[in-house]
Amino acid sequence: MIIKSKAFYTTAYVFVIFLILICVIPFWLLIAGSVTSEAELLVHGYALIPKEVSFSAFEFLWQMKDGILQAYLMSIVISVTGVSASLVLTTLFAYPLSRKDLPGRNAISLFLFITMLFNGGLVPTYFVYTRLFHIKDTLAGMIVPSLLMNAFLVIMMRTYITSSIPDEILEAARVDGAGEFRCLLAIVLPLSKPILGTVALMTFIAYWNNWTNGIYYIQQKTELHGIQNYLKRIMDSATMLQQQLASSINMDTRSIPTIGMRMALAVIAVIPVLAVYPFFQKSFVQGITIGSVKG
Amino acid sequence: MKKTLSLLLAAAMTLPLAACGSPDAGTDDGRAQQPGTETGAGAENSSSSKAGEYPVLRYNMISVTGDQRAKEAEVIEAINVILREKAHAEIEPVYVNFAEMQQQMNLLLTGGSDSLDFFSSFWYQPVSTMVSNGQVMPLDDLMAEYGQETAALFDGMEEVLDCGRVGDQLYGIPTITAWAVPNIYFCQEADSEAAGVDWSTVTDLDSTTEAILQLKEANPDHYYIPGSTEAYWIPKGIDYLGDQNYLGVLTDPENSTTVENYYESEYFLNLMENVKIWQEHDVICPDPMSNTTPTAGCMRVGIVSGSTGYNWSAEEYVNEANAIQDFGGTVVGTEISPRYITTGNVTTYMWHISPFCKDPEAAMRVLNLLYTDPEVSTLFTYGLEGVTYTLDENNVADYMEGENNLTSGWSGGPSYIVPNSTICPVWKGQSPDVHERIAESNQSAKKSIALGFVCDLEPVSDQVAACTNVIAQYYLPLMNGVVDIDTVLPKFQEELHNAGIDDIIACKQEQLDAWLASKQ
Amino acid sequence: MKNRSATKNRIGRKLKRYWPLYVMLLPGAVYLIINNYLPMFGLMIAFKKVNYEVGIFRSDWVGLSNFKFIFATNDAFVMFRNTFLYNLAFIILGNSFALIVAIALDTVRKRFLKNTAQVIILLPYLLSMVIVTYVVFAFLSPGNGFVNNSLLAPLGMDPVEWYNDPRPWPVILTIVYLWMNFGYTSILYYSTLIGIDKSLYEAAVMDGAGVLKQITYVTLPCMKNTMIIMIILAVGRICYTDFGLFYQVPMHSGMLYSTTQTIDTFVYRALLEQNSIGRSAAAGFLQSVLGFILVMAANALVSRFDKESALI
Repeated sequence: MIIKSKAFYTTAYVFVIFLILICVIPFWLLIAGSVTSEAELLVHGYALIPKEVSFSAFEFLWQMKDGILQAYLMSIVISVTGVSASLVLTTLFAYPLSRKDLPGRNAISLFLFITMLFNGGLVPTYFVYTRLFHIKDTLAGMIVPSLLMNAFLVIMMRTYITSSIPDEILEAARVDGAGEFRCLLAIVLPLSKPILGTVALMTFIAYWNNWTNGIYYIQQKTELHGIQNYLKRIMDSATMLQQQLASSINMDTRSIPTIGMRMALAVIAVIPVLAVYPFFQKSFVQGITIGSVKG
Repeated sequence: MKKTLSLLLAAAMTLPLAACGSPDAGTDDGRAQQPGTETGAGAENSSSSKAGEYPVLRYNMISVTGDQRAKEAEVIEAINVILREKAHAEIEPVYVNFAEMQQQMNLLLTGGSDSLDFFSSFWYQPVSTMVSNGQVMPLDDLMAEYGQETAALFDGMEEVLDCGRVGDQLYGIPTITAWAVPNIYFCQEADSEAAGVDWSTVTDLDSTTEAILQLKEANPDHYYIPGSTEAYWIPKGIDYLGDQNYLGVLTDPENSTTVENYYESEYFLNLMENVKIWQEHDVICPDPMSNTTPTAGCMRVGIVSGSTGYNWSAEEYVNEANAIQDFGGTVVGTEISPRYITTGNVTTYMWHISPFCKDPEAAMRVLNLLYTDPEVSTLFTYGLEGVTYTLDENNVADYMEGENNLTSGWSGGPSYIVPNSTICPVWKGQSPDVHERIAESNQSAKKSIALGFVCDLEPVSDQVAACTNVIAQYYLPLMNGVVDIDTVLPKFQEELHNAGIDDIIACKQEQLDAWLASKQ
Repeated sequence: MKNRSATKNRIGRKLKRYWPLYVMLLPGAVYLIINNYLPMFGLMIAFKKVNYEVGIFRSDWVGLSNFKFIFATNDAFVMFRNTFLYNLAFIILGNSFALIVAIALDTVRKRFLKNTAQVIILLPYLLSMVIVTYVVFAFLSPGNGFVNNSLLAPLGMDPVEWYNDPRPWPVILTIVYLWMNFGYTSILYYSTLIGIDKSLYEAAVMDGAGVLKQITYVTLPCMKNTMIIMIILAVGRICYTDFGLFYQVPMHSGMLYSTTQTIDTFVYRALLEQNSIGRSAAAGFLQSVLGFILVMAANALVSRFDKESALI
């Protein structure tokens, strides 16, 4: 937009700062919670500035640093593979769908859309993947089920292409003798950088945060688990230890900070996403801004 | 038509792998050639060459985290050495994550090649549900042929074994453990001394309330009832017929066979009267509706200084806890309900063979050893001596130096889940004669008239669904004393009627009567 | 004869022209078939009494009996009402708020602030519901919560038992929903927004358009397609609710049912003690079918006025 009104600009400025604050404060609460002693949390609840600082949650986690690093690595492998594959699948599906002249376009849209509404449920999906494709306890089990292509993002991308890339450009390219693949690579992709960045980011988040695939499809080879599954395991064991009802014969469980640890684990899980985000930012979103200024 | 579909599938199969750069395609093949068991180590060539001759039976290893145990290969191989000889079978654990147990077990019991062969249903589903879902197989014939020794464990206690029976067939074997678990109450000894409570007079709920009031008076800042989103009171003094929602119970399980509406029974009304007193005297811990820590957990983190619970022996419970200072200070406690053996208690821990079992006979042979062979049972429960646990000169087991149940590489000490822990050495903190005393407790406890009766609520499952929902709405606020009991309780009772609790009670009564008649 | 060969010719020409597009569609289509269509045999579970021993295909058909439990409760009205009203509120408020945020982001010129904001507003979306539950609890805890202690107490107001009082929860849950999701939605809108041809704005400014005019005449028309699609897609999910938001965030407090119970939480609670794959499949089936009908209606409505924005 081209802004000349100072008042509007200031309003937007203040508004954005306000948004940052409402998102940061709870996160700050989380970080504060992760360094507050367990007793303090239980008795006085959460405070923006902890009265009694304790790093016991992080100390407890430090013992598992090797496992955490390994799981990070796994998560990166899973996410990067998944995002790359997903970008290819999504783009290849979205571009033809954006072509209003494609015969059978409505049927294909419906074919895509139905997958968003109806699903067979966990057990049948599990049947298909484990009995037909035998992906149990393989890396594919972490990557393929349910995450590889998101109909929602395909539709978003299709809509973006329809509304942002004028037919005339493609028509002109075709007149110049460019094939469909060439149109896609030379024209559509460069002009679709913002939505590609968004799709990549959303898919990355989905992969990064996913833990259900790890639970359902990885049973024995837990070394294939990514960070979410690993952190979940730590959390489950700490909680179980502390809350064990049946048998009293156990280690001293009072020393395990379960609530503080939950906070610490959340912090650990989120940090890499924050680190990765600016990368997507730079290569896609800013790319288009600069590109369009030039053009 | 079929051909095109399979073509499509073939094409589809290559795609996702290619898209992922198939980093695991190679290793996958390698894996497939392995004989199922991860005998690992490769130390003993002779044993690994033997592997593969026998069926490898998969069972669920309930694990807090779903993590593979560090010493699994060694322990399992040690067990398999014996099993190959005595049972002509091998076993392989499948780790089931506690928190995701329902889902994982559902998937492992659907009949795929990864199905479990035999399993423990602890925390999973009641046996009648598993029968109706086709997830367990009848065991009578197998037991008669390969499990006589296990059957002999239940001599004189046939009703206990019957708890695994649905209709005429046996579908599950209860574990050998304490089957009578009365309600107990325990608190910090310091508090008790300050208040001068005479625990010998505390025998039931009403006298417990008196003791609690004494405690509260002497320690006004402390709380004595662990109000929580996890129930702090399981009615062990009645027979709730194995129903977690207590829809239809026997409140006098020694004498009466009349199924009653729990939520309108004397027993529950009396409980509510006590909750009112607790409410009034502020003995329930603060914010119970947002406290997710259950009973003893609240004691451990210091939210409360006294708690309800249940255990086969308050004395043993308190001693074990004090031996390792589980609750920070020394605690005292006592039993506050009659001790009954009920179907509900027995069916908490059971083992089954799935209908997808590769070799049910071998599975029965394995189970038989787990129930009766001390060596196998000890390996299964504690792992390998000198590797995952040590024995001292008195034959008392403990973790290896500096280890605990997370780091030991196998399991966390004694367990009620394993088929028979009473033939293992005692664990540190347990009384030396704990196994004899458990057996004695089982012998001396009163049996509910309905012991061995397993209810099937399938015919009224819509009503059960509706009642479960009503209970989810009203039960905890009432128990935690955060609502006005006099106004909310009648509303709760009415909603239960609307939801069809009477149909459920009638259904239970009918089945119970038929079962009683068939026993005559 | 002539006619037929002409048709043939046309099809041939079309094929020649479009085959690359169909080839592009193939990988995605294969994935959808495997991941979504093959498992759809599971839809029949809604009409079966599943017995794994004989297998899903050979289990007995039981007609509609799996569906009965959804309506065999006094809560049926409450949970349907809550599900629809919450979703309606989420669709309207969520999308308009996200649009405003996207415009604000686009307006801000300071690159650092713009980039920081884009990272930060996604934070809530990245947190698991369990953590969000803790955060909400930190605010609303009756004893030590931020609201009772730091807001109401200084104002001399009585503390509120937030988890016992159903009345404020429609507002609380809507705020939590908006807080968690506005980042995601506004990033989607923002990527469309920055794709808008700058020359359009320049032309508008030449014509003397101010900020509001630029928004109404350039931004909104360019965003229209994306917005309509977002809304249509949301309508398809109108019978579904985020289980974590409605179950965990209110701490599954029974006293809040009148305003927090939705179809998903009901199904979970009702089947808590019963491992009934048939009944849960039935509930899912019902939700899907209702969503499908509504979405088709919405799509028909949209395509009547504006063929281009329609989903199909």
